[in-house]
Parts: sequence; C-alpha cells; structure tokens
Amino acid sequence: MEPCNQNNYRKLFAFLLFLIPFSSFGHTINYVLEKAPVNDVVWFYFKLGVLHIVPLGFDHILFVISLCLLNTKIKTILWQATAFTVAHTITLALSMKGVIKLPADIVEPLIALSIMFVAVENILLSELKAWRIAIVFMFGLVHGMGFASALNEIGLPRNKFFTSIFSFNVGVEIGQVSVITLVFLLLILPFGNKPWYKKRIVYPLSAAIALIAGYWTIQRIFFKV
Amino acid sequence: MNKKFIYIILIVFFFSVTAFVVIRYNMKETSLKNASYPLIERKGAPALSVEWQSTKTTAQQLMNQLKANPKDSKSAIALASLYVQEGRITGNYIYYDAAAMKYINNVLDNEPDNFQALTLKSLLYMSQHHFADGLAIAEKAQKLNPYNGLIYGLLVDGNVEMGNYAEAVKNSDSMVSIRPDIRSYSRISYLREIYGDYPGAIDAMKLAVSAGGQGDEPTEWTRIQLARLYENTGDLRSAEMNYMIALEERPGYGYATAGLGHIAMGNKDYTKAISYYQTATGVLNDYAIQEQLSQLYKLNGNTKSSDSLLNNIIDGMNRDGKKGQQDESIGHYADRELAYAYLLQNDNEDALKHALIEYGRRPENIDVNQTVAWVYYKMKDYDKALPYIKVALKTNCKNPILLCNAGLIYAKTNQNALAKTTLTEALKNNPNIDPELKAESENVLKTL
Amino acid sequence: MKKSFTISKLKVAIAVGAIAISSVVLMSSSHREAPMIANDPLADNTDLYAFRSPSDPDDITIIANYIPGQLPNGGPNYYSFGENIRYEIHIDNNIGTAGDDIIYRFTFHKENQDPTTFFNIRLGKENLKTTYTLERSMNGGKSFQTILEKGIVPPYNIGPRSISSPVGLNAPSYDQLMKNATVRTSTNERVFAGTADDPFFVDLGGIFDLGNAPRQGPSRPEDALKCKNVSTIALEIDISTLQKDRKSVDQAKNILDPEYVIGVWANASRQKIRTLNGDGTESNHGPWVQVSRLGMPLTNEAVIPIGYKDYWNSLTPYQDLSKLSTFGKFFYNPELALYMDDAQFGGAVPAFHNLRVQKNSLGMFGFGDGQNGLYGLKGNAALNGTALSEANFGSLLLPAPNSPRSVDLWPIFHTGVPNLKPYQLATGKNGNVLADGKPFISNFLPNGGDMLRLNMAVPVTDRKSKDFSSEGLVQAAVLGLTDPRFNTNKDLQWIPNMDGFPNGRRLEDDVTRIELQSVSGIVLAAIGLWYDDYVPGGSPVTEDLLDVYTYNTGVNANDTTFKTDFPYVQTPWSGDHNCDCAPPPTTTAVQMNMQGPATSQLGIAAPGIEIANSPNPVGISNTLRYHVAVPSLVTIMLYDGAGKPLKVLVNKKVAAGTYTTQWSAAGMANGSYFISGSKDNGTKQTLTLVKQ
Repeated sequence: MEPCNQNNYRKLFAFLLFLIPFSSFGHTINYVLEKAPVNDVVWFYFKLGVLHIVPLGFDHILFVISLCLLNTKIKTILWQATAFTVAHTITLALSMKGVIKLPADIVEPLIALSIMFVAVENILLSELKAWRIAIVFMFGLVHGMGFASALNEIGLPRNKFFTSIFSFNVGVEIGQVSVITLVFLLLILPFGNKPWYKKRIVYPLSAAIALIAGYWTIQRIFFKV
Repeated sequence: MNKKFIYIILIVFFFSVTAFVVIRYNMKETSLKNASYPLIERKGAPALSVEWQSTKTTAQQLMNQLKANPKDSKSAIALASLYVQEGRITGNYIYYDAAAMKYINNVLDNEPDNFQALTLKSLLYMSQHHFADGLAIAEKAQKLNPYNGLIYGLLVDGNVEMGNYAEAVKNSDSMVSIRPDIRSYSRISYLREIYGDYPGAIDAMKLAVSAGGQGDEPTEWTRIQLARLYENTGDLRSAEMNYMIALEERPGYGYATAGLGHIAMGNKDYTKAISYYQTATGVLNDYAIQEQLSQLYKLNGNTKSSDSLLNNIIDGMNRDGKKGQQDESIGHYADRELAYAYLLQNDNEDALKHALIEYGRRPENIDVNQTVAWVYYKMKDYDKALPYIKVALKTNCKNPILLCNAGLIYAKTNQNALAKTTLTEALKNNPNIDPELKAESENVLKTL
Repeated sequence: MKKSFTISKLKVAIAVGAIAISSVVLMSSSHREAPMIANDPLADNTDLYAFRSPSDPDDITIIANYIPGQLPNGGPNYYSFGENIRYEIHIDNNIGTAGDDIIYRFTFHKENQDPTTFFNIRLGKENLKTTYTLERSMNGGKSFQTILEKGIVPPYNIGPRSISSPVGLNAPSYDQLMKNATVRTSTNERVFAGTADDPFFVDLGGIFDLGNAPRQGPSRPEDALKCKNVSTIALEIDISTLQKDRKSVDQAKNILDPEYVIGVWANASRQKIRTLNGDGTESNHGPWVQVSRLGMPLTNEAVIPIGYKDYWNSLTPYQDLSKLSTFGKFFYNPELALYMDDAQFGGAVPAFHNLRVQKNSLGMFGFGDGQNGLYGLKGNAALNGTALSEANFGSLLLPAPNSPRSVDLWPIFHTGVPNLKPYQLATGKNGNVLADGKPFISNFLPNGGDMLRLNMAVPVTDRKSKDFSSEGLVQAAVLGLTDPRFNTNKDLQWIPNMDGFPNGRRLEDDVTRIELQSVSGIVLAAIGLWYDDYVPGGSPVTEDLLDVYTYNTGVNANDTTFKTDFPYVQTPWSGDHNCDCAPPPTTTAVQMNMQGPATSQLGIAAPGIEIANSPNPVGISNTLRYHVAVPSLVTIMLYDGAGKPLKVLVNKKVAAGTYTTQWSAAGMANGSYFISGSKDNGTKQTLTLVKQ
C-alpha cells in the first residue's frame, strides 16, 4: 500500500497526462527472483530489457530508426536518444512504483501514433529543433509506460526493486544503441553523404514506417487482441 | 508553405487521434463503471429453488437503493455478497465476480477502511487466484479488526496458497480460537492433510460437516471434501456413502454427482462415470469437472469428444485469463490449471510456460512445485523435475497423486530405494486416483 | 431474536468462497472453495424467553430457541440440534457472586437407526433419532450433575404419513409426540427439546432490509417467521430453585422484591481443536469456545456491527462491562435513533415517521445523538437518593457527556431497572422527574451484561384478561399513568403486564415494537421526561407521545396461538401444511383510551433553574450551561470544598432559554468545588465538581 500523500502526486500526474481516470496498482511481485542471487537478477532483467527491443519490440525499433532518420548528424541522434531515454526511464520507474498508471488501451495506440508522427516529421523536417526534442521526450514518457506493462507481466522482486529496474533499463539502452549503431553502419555511413540519401532512403523508409505505424494505430484502437 | 500546411494537419491529426483514444477510453470506463449486472436466469436444479425468487427480489431492491443513493455502502456490499454467492451457486464466476468487484471498489473509493468491503475484496481476489493481492488486503483488514473469524480464514487461505504453511497454521489456530465452526474446522482439516495427517484431516472434516446445517451448500461441499479424503485413503465405501448423502441432502448437487462419477471411474465403469460427469457439468461451470470428463471420454475410447472438450476447456481458461488482462480489477489466473490441461493435450511446451508463470507468482506453494515437476517429468527432463518435487514434499504431504508423481520422478532419476518407499506409500491403501497415473505407478513399482 | 439466517435468506443469502482447498485433491481449477461466509444455523441462538408460567405461577418458564428459519416442507433438509455443540441456559440470581449461578447444559446425540434409507422416518424408525443429556450446575459451572439422560427429541413433523401412519411412526398425533417428549428431570424441572412453531414475529423484510416497518407502499407486512419452525429448548423451573436463597415466591416481601431478580442468557459452544501440535500430533478436544449467545432480543442484529459479531458472540455477558468502550457506545447513541431524528437521517426512513426522540425534554434535556441526556445533573445534590447519584449508580448510568441513552437504553439491556427514583412512573411526581413516583419495574441486576432480567415476584397477567397486552411493560406504564384504577396514587400496586418485556419476556410480547418505541424514548416519557411538544401546564399526553405509543410494525402477533400449558410454544408446522395463512394479525390502530390526566394530578412543573458544567473533572477551560423557563435573575457562584465563595460566574437578568458561558479553572488547586446557581435569589441548584 502506498502512503496516502502519494495520492496527490498521482492525481497531479494523471491530470498532466490527459486527465485520464485511473486506478492505482502496485507492481506485480516476482517471488521467484526474490530468492535468487543478485547477479542472476541483474542478468535476467538485463536480458529482458534487450529482448524487449530486439527482437520483440518492433515498434520501439521503428521509433528509434525514425529518430535516426531526421538527419545524418550524430549530435541530432544523440540528443533525441538521450531525451527519449531520460523520459522513458522516468515513467518506467514511476509506473513500476505504482505512482502512475495509464491503461494499455491508451498507451499502446499512442506509441503507434508517436512512431507515425516522428516518421512523418522526418519527411517534413531536416533540422533538429528544440521542440522536436520536446516531442521525443513526451513520446519517451509514453513508451516508458509501455515498457512498464511489459515488465509487469514478469513482475519484480521486492527486495531488488531498483536493481531490477536499472538492469532492465540498461538492457533497453543496449538494445536501442545496437539499433542506432546498425542504422548508422548500414544507412548513414554508406549513404548519408549521397545527394539522393533523403529522396531514396529517408522518404521511402519514413513513409513505410508511417504506414506501418498508422496501421498499428488503427489496429490498436479498434481491433486490439 | 505547403510543408507548413501538412505539418499543421499532422499536429491536428495527432491531437485529434489522441483525444479520440482518450475519450473513447473514458467512455468505455464510464460505461463499465455504470454497467449494471442483472442476474442471469439460472438453469437446472438451482433455478427451481424458492431462494432464487427471493434472491431476484432482493437484488432488484438493492439495485434500486443504489440507483437512488450510489454512496449507500451497505447496499453495495450486500449486493456484492449476493453476486459472490450467486457465482458460487451457478458457477458463473467470471460474470458475478466482476460484478461484485465493481461494487466493492465503488465502496472502497469512498471508504478505504471499510472492513467488510476489504474482506470481500480479499475473498474475491483469492477466488480469482490472485493470492498475493488477496493476502495483502486480508492483512490490512486484520489490523483493522483482529476479532473476526472470516479474516483469519482469508489469511489461512492466502498463506497456504503463497506457501507460507507455518504462518497458515498460526492463522488457523487463531481462527478456531475465535470461532470453532465449519469454516475453521474445514481449514484445519486441509492443513492437516498438507502436513500428511489423513486420519486427523478426516476427524476435523467430520467435525466441519457436523457443524453445518444439513443440505446447506457449505455443509455439503464439506461433505464432498470428506469423501475426497476417504478416496485418497482408499476407503471408497465411506466416500461413496458421503457423496450419496450429499446428493440426498442437496438434490442435484453437481459436486456430489461428480463425486459418484469419480467413484465409478475408480471402478473402471467409464460409461456410468461419463453419465455422472455429464450431469454435473450441466449444473456446474467448473473446468476441473470438465477436465475429468474429457479424460473419461479418452479412457472410454472416445478421443474425438475428449479432444474437443479439452479444446473448449483450454479456450475457456485462456479467454478468462485474457479477460483478466483487459480488466485488471478481476480475471482469473488459471495458469496451473492450464498447465495440466495442456499436458492432457500433450502440448508440453505450453504446459511448461503456464506452470512457470504460476511458479513465478508463488514459488513456495507445494502444489505449484508439484505441477512444474510433473510437467518436466512429462517432458522427460527428470533432473529438472527433481528439485521442484522436493519442494512439493516439504510439508510431508501424503497425497497419493503427489507421492505417485514423486515416486516416478525418483525412479527416473535412479533413486530406486526412495522411489520404492514413496510409491509403496502412495499406493498402500489403494487410493482412488487417475487410473493412468495409478497404472504407471504400479508398473514402475513392480520393476523396482 | 437473532434472525440473521432469515435476514440473510431474504437479503443476501449465504455467501461462501475463497481458497482452493481442493487444489491438492482435484487436479485442476476449482472455484468452489472452503466455506467462508457460511452461516452457522445449528449454533445460532434465535430467541430467549423467560416468564412466570401462566398455568403454574410458582414456576418460571425459560425457552431458548436455536436454528432459525426452518421451513416445514424443508425436506430433505430437516435440521435438528447439532452434535458436538453445547447448548446452555445460564442464570445469574445473585449480584454478590461472580458470573453464573445456575447452568443447564444440553448435549445432543444422533443415532442412525435405519441406515438403509435416507427418508427421515420410515417404519417406526427415525433415520436420525436425536436424544439428549441434560446436566445442571448449581455452583456456576464448577460441577455438573446429570438430571436427565436419553431425553427424546421428537422427529421432525414431516407430515401425517410419516408421523401417524402405520408405515411411519404410527403415533396418535404430533401433539402426543410432543407430550411424550415433555418430561420431568430428576430434580423436578419440566423439560422439552424439539421442533416448535417459531413464536417470534417480525416483518423482517420491512424492518431489516429497508427500515420499512410498517411497510410504506403496496407490499403487505408479512411475518418473516410465518409458518416457520425453530428448535426449542424449554424448561419449567420452580421459583425456589432459581431464587438465590431458595425462597419460594410466597416469601417475597412484595411484588417487586429485588431479591427475586434473575438474569437469563443462552449460548452455544463448540470445542476448539489444535491444527497441529508441536510434536506433529493434534488434538480434537480443546476448550469450549462460545460461538453464539443471546440475552435481550435484537441486540445482535440491530446493535452489533457485522465485523464485530464474532467478537461479541465469543464474550460472556459478564465481560460486557469491561468491553463497554467497544460496545457501550452502540447503546449510548444507537444508530437506529438516527433514523428517528429529522436532523439526521429521519427522512430516509418514512416508516419511522412517528418515532421521534426527545431532543429538548422539559426544555432542558436532550436525548438525540451526541446530546447530554441527564449528564448535566451528574453530581448534583438533587440526585441524592436516586439511582443516578454517585453514591448509587451514577458511575454506570451517567458515565460521560454525549452519551444520552446511558440512562434508559443501556440499563434496560445491561443492568435492568431498579425500583428507585427516577425509574418510577411520572404518576405522583408532581412534575419533578427526580421525585418519588409510582413503582412499575424492579429487575435490577447490575452485572452489566446483555441478558433478560426478570423479577420472579411479579404476578402473572392472565392471558385471557382484557388488560393483557403484547406491549408488555409499556402497557403497564400507560395504565399506571392514565388508568383511573392505577393513576390516582403513587403506591406500589400490581398493574397488568408488569410481568412483560423488558421484565423478562413472554412469548406474546411484541419486542420489536417495544424496543423501537424505547429507542424513540417512550421509557423516558413514562418517568416524566416528556416529549418536546409538551407545554408546561398542559397535558403530557402530547401528539408526539401518542405517535410513539401507537406506532406498530404491522406484524404484532404470532402467526398462531400458544399452548395453554408447558411448553407453551405451539406444535410445529407440519411438512404438508400449505402455508398460505390468513393475513397476519395486525392491530392497525392500537385502541388507546389514554385520556390525558390532569396535569395537577401528575404534578408536572418545570424546575426553576437547571445548570450543568462540562467537563467534570474540570479542565482549564470549562463550559457552564444554564437554563431558565421564565425570565429570571440568574446568579451562579463557584465555591471551594469548604464552601468559601471563589468566583461569580454569572450574575444577570436573562430571558427564558438556555445559555452557555466559559470559565477558567487555571490556578485552582486540585480538590472538590461546588457551583451553585440560583434563580431570582430563590430556587437553588448545586453541582459538585472535581479538579484533578
């Protein structure tokens, strides 16, 4: 049970988050891992984090790819990736603590929608604007809650709460970094300086991502399984 | 210019979709919150009872009261209790537990320390197999009121399911000190069985039966448990007698009919057993009974009926589980049960997956360890099965199925002496258990 | 009147649930788990009666009923007394000895006579033949003596085919079976144990479900116990056995002789067993734990909150006093009274429209929720010689402020009422509540426990007399106030129905109505604390009083008659009885020839000045309240223990009304003080205060 004063924070947060009615739940407890040695727990959640990006998190992969496609500057990618990471870490931790809770019915379509948004923006923009970072940050908050619901299916050991979240997060980062590295090695490095880079790679790829994401959005709103 | 225009459209689109998602969700929530749960017409024998008429009238009155005053917590709790009971009578837990949970949560929104509402919520969680949640709420309620038998009953149940058996024994002693009655005696019997004492379990269950009004559902259910204890100790005559008394005292009682079917199954009279089980599934919505029926079809050579029923069971349990994911306030965890069902289907992979999910929830529980061990056994991964079956035996439980499972695992891991004593112990009274398991155990015992 | 089973049948029905007890046994999921909210009918006390036997006035009849709501056609579920349960009737006849003095203990045994059939009765054999052993303790439970062995419980009244036909028991009639089962013990009590018509009557559907009695709207009031049976234990005991000094009733000093008061309660217990002993063994024979008890009707249903019922049921009445802080508050400020108060939830229960509590009786005493009742008088010299004085029972009856019903409801349920001022009828009090009035009750046994209290010296009211009334003692009070046969003097006089509830409880007494009227303050009115609409100088029989007195629940009598001889309860309804009884007897408008007696006759006049101080013992800051009925010069002084004036608290001319003033006790030494108030330098009232 959370102390009552957290209620206010929760309410505030819920207010910020689109004024959605919510109910609070603690995180699921993983009783098996409570008995396990710390090393095993770290490794378990680290693996889980990686797996949640590659190969399971196809939607997150597309989002990260989209971040890389804005332009070819490494700084651009790093800024966005950092904003995204910070944001999803915050909501992941808060969700697991039970401080905030957004239903999957909202989070899942919004994740798809955010991918679509970023992909379309890639077609329209080519410079990193402050507000793109702000948007990425906001989307990061949403994705964090997606990670949380994935993590909740497995549960967390109460006695190694932060260790496990941290390991999971590191895993997610490693997954992200490997996606970024791959995009960099396979697309930006060989083709980034080509004059047709935008036309032949960024536009079609972004359009494809946007289409897929649009499809997901509709699917997740209306035909969720 | 063009780009800017598209950009604006993009942003407007984004916000409209977001708003749409949120509003749609809100509307769904509101409709869920205002959803009314009318009683569903009963079928079979329960529909004929006089009490069904008064149940309907009462439910209507309570709903009217709540419509007039949604904050009327007494009526909300009364209605929730009524739904819980109706779920028990009809077996339609999914519907009625969700209904009850809705009203309980409404009460707790206004009065977080409402003892009765907490008790009911804990009870519902337990019934949905959300044992950890149920236990946590029971612990909170016990602090508010330590003089209530029911709350100790919930603590016993929660601790048993979470595998904290020593704690459960303490709770059970507290419970019986407050109120020796059918509730506390039946729990004592269960704990004694867990600790391997069948004669003590039978004594306590007899006390439980004598403490209830003849024909009342809890009494007859307790009598069924007494009969089960007799079956496990090979006293089929007493078992059958008790099933018959239960059926006389409570005509059409599904668990009694199923019990007679189980006796027939033990006598290898599969046609008779099938007809009993068919009658029972007609009045009860219980996967365990259906599973037995499917097994009986198979034993009787009717693989087609067996498979299709088994598919139905698995679909049903998966559907219930999914409902739990969609509406997190309620939803039955049935992973251990699913594991057994998948085993019957020879789908060992899915069986393992579900067994381990349940193990993740309560790794100290002996039943769950038994399930995991048995799945590994079926996968012929005997070394992996061994540590789990050892945990399952930690309370020295003498349940013949458990001992058969353990003996077979010992035999496969070349611990022949241990296998021999365990299987001998399991089969010594000729208990009435699954004929396939029994046959396998007997055959293995001969080779030792 | 623990109708919990019936209530729940009407309302919630038995709920059960939780725990996969079968999970070891069954291979798969079972939602149907160990009993959780099971009712416990076999050990459920429903009602208790204690009255002087109408057909044998030297005896007291005690009837304890168990196992509620038995439908006559309930086959195959015919309940009977459970095995492994102790059913007991307890009697306290002496406040000087701790706990019970006499205990009767019934234990039942079932014998399966014909195991080849499940039909309850066939060919002269009963499938479950029940017999019992009766033991008696005359030393409070230290030792028991068996006074009856193999007592016979008649079989359930399944129907003539089973009872009187040759293939059945071939008995002449069920009545004959009952007669045969009524026997004398070795110590000369008469005893019967078996099924009987449930003598209780109540419109449960109205009262408990909706607070709707009499029913408002189209539905007809219905006796929830109509055509229902109950398992009865009845004892008829000579008064000399029950009286503490073994005196016969002829030796009583008068009809209210306090030496003849007994407290009666009944219970049911089961044995506690150990789950597991440390050495792995277990025992099935532990101490007996009480699981149900009953003294006064309706305490359990109407007063004890659900979550506390297990606790309350496990206590003996002798522990009630020490748990006063838990349970007393439910009597001091009863929840039911909230529904009789327009400032609270009165509007929510239209059925109680006529029931209103005095919130400003005599212009100064309020008995509404959280008001002070008579607490303002605490320590007042005017209380000297009354039950409320500190020398007498002030500490019990005036325990704290804001506990208004500590002077009527709490003692009615927990101590009985002494024949002491102010607990005498207003007749002859000349307007001073605290003055001597006409005696009408004396069943004081101040052990603080919930039990029925009966003064055995009070003569029996003939059941056939036109004065006989199911209103019990309330009717005796009404006659004592208004009937010229009784209201012309304040002498002790036998008034019909003085032997009725709450002086014991007769089968006929309409306890639901009497208790609701009592919650509404009718007892307060009887002793002269009139309803708010009383005008000084006018008749005390005001509209409010008439409203409360004429209130009835719509079901005012049992669904059948009573027997004229022991065990008095009626033959149980037969299993083939078509239970479409005639509409329940109702006394729609209680015929009341309650002519207002002249005020002078009753001598009603408001006291001149009334003062009250809180808190007591005094704190640093204190509140003084005073009331005058007419414009007056009020002087209130503070004195020390030696009578030396310390302070003038009030000295002014005020209009009629109630005033408060704050004063400080800072700097005053610990000790006792007095506050004395005077009106127009005349009438005085003095309070004793303590500073600690």
